[in-house]
Amino acid sequence: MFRKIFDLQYKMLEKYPFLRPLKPLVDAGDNFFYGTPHTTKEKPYIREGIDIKRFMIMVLFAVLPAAIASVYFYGQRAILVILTSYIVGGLTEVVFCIVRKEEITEGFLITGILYPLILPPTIPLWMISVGIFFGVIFGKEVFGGTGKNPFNAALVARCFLYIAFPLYMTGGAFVEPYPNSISVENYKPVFQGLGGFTSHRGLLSHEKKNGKYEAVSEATPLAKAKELRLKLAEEGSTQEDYKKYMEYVKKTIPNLLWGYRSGSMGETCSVLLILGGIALMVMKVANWRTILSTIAGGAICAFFFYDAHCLADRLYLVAFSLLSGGFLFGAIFMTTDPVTGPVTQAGRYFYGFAIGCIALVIRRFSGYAEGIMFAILLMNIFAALIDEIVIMVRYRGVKK
Amino acid sequence: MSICCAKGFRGGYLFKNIQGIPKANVEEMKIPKYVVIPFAQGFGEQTIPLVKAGDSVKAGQIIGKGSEGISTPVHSSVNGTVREIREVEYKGKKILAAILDASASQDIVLLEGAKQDLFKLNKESISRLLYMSGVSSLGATGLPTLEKSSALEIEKVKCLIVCALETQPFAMPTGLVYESKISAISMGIQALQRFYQDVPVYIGVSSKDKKFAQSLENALAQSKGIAIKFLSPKYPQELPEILTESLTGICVPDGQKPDAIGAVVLDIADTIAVYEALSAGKPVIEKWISLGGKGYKENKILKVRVGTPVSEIAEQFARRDTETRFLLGDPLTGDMAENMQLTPIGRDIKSTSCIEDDKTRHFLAFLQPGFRSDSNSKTFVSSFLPFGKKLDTNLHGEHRPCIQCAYCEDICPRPLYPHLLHKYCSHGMAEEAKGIRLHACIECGLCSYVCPSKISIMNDIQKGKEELKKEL
Repeated sequence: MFRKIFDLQYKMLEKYPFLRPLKPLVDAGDNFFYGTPHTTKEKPYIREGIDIKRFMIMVLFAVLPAAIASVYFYGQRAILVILTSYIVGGLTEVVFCIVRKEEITEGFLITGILYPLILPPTIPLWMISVGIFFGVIFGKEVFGGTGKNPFNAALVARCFLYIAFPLYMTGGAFVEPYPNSISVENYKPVFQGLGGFTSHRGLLSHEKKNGKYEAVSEATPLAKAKELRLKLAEEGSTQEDYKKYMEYVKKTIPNLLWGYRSGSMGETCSVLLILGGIALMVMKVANWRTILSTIAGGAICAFFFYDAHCLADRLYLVAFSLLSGGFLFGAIFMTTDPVTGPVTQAGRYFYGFAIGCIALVIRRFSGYAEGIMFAILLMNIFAALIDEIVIMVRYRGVKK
Repeated sequence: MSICCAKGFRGGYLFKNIQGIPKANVEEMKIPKYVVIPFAQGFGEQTIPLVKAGDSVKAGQIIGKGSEGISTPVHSSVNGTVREIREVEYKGKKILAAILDASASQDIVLLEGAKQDLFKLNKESISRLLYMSGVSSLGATGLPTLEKSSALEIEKVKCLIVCALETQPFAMPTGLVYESKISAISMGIQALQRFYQDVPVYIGVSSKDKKFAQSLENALAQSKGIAIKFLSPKYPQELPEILTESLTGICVPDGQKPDAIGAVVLDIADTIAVYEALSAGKPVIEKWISLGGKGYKENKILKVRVGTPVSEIAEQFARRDTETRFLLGDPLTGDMAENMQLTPIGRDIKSTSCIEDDKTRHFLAFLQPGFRSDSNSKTFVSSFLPFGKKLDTNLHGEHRPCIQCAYCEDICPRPLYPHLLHKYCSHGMAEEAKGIRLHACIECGLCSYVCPSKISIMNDIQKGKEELKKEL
């Protein structure tokens, strides 16, 4: 029955030559719903079961809890945001494939969901469209499509928005989650209600008439902590200021863990991110080397960068650094993009570690509160260089 | 002497719970109507035919002998007449072969000079028996004798390696199959050790075959310099380069066979052939092959005459109800027989596989739980459940560009980056690939097997090697 739809489509393609350019689209649909009829033609004559579709869909499953959490914390608007990203980005991708007469690949399934999850919840829909349009074209297609892009398309899109529309991407763009979602008491979440599942606050446009958001604007924990820390660095800071700073850090950590905090849509609930990350590592879809070395790099830098009076405070600051902002989301879903990272396993350790370090350097020493995005994009550039060095060291004795 | 575990190698892949593993029962196949005897079997070059069409031959008679390079005589495996001598394709090469019409008689001409007590044979007669019986063409690089039968000279043999395990997907249970042959195996090994001036002998046994290793140790208790080592049954442990490295700890140089370091690598079945040649003068005209894969009605060990065309085997033992694909060898390195009527089971064939040719399109294949799918990743339910896994010829996905997931790097048993080699070789940059050790590839086929983008990495690497060969 279902099969007949595709058969009909293929017949139409044959009948009407002007429809021919749409073949990649029909092929993609056909291949999506039905497995391949092709058999092996070259040695070895057996192939294992996994294909790129399954590979990508597993990432989608791993990020799905975080996506659902974003709906829970920020309302049904999140669904609309994700849909917009999929539709606009997907269309861009399809148009490119039709023009190039290439097969449509599955890479966009991931970009399309990762991108909205790293945006603030109040982002206007048109901006999402502009961002993903830019990201898909300049992050991926100009380099030759999936498998050849040096930069993570989702991050390119976000970076573009971050620089082009800073007002919508920082500070006031971040809002509090729904008060009826959860509250955290002593590291345990208390569910208050259905949260954003039942609300469609600011569904189409988040802006109200006089430029104020409907929801309560709330600085991200990272920005707040940075503010407190800078106050500490000023002259004439007192013991009181330090206490205030540490108190804020300690108080926020449970919220960071369970997701009741302001931030980008998908990055808030650390527990779900960690679960997704573990699932990806167990399934061998994400490379554990990159994830763990990113976290290690971040932890080590945080340990030395943030001054504290005692070891316990230092460890609190490390935990705060790792859980806050987009660090975990970046480490688990962005650094592990196999295309933009190094191709050698040894290089992956270094790549991850450098991302962790650079993210913390940006957070600590620059004007930006968050640094993981720039860190990953920066290391994307160096991925090829890392590979070169790894291969040079490994094959130093080999005659050319 | 003691049994210890050998150091493992990096990478590799453990095939677990695969459906279609041959059982240990051995069945003798009837003599086929005709046989195809290629004039080069095992290690060595094509020999000069000694018969012509119309001649009558006896089983065990030498029908091809001598050449300019390294060679070992070739025997007729049946009693009958020569139908014609023509070119056939065997293991991807075109070579001359004799096609013999066979009669049903079982008689075999035995070589003279064999003695029941192997230790009474002198060096010359051992060498002659090994050479004339065809045993010297077995093993990875042939058995060195006083004749020109191996790339290695007899004085340069440094060690003898016996492979007593199989790790391919349809691995036969070596321990169970060869349990009854232990005395022959041990006698064969001892005779060879003596022949090669008491070189050390390493026997690699699968760590699952504890009992077999124990009885082998008991049988070899009196000899010195024989080490039995347990090896993990990871594929491609049985390939000569890997086996030599795990057992002796010496690396085989890139692009060379174990003879480069003076190692003679033998399969356990070859030691039985050695024993039979020395004790009874029996030439290598019979062979145990395993029938693996769900394409066969029954998976077992088959005793066949050398030269049996694979079409006979497929006809008698393969399933009729589905389309199947017959492979000469294991499914990862085995070749597909182009012309099954003219493709024989040679001396050097250990296994055959017959897998289902699956062309069905599964609805939403990438979302199915996959109870029967084998995968390097753990994205299928089968990774966590003990169900038997099915191997077939379906690609299980579309061709996609390489996304650098590095599964191939994880799995590669050699220190290589298969995805980089693929990139260089498929773009005609074989020279560049040489810089990242293209020649270290031993063509085990694992990289192509695990690739989620369904890229034929091994095929590209082979093409790159050929390109380099042409340039020379």
